[in-house]
Amino acid sequence: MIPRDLATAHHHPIPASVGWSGRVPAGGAIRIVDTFGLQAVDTLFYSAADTAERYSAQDTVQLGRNAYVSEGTRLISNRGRLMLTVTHDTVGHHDTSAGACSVESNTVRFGHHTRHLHACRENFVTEGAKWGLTKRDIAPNINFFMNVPIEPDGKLAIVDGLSEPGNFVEMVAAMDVICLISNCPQINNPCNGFEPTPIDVFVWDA
Amino acid sequence: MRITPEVIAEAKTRYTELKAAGQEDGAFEAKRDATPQPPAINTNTVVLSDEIPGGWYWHGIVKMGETLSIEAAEPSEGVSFLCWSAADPSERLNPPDTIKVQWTAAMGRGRVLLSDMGRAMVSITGGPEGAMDCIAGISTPHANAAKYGDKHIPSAADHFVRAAAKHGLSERDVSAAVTLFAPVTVREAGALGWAGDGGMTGRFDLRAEMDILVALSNCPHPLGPSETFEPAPIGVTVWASAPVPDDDLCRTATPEAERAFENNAALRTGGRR
Repeated sequence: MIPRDLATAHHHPIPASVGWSGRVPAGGAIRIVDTFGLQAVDTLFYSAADTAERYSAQDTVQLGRNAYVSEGTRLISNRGRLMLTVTHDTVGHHDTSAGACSVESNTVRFGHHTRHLHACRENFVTEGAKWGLTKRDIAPNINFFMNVPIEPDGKLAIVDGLSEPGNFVEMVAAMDVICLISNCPQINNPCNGFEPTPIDVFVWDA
Repeated sequence: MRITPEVIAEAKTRYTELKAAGQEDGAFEAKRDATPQPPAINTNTVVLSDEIPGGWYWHGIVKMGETLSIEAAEPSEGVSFLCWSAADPSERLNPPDTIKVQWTAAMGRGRVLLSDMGRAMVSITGGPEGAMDCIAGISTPHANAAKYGDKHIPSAADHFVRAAAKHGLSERDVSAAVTLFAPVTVREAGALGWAGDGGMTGRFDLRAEMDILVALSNCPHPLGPSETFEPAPIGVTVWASAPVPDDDLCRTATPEAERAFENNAALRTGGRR
């Protein structure tokens, strides 16, 4: 499939460490560009018609019989419906099992001294509030451009990213969706190369 | 905070140290294996004893300090588990944090199940190894339609919505779950597998580290090998745990668990640290 024409897209530049949200209509598409490389982009989707229906990482993994998101992955809702399909991926694979960083989990992972650092779930609840969503709506997300191999013995860690400047993922929407993005602010692990950078989002209406 | 080259170098060094400690070969297993499996449940301590028929569910409050035992006397291909803080159900089980923080998807005895608020909800004080799936979800109407050709066969997803509803919660509160007796593995290139060719027997002991609302569903995991829906009954026992010693395995196995319990303690003193 040929990537869509950027000239016909809405362009949303997203500065380092901040959140963004927007709609993608059914038949439209969203492209997330890792403009500078090695930047995790935490992403959630909700049905615009009824936000109780939302992206389900576990159903997506289960249906695809694969732990990672990559080109061709069907992103499935908690009601078992197709929300979006990954039509282009110039990286290889993306995590959807390790969740978003939070102020609270940072203290457990990295020590209590990190409790005043900004985190993805701060961005998610702030962006979600604009759509009537609360913390209980913030389910496990996709971490585009985040490399979290799961080894046969279960070992799991965020390791150096695979994405180079300009790498992108593109998804076509099968229903009207609301997209929440946190351009990950984490500075305590390699998910952003230890230095968060801006990204670019492009949305096509059809 | 300004990100200077010094800040980056320090963060890299610290992460390398944390990862090496968290994934040191055999270190956690040695601590775990030095602690015996829990003995039979002392009947004098039992608060509640129940049975979940195949294809049915259970829900209830398990108080801090009580242990919830889930026993498969006959082979089981999965009992799905979800929990919320009874005091504030917006705090709930978070499987991604649970596996990420503890550097492993192999949840089992000696580990803790974490909430989205950086606290331990449950200590896994007993149970078989490599048999708690945290990534591949639960049975659902659409999974049952694909597996059994019948979307009306009972599913954990429907059970959890019903259990949640009976405590004032809704579908929005039914987030990612874990499944006991489900030895799901991740193989080459992320492909999912199932260790063994059938179900498992055994007993999981889950010690509540705060008052929790629990939902259990006795429906097989969709990756379970049985092609027909025939789950056997499961035993559920809630009992008063023995006092937790200072060197308790789950509370001391890793620095991450210790910090989670520091967050639990802070909650009990009004959130102040």
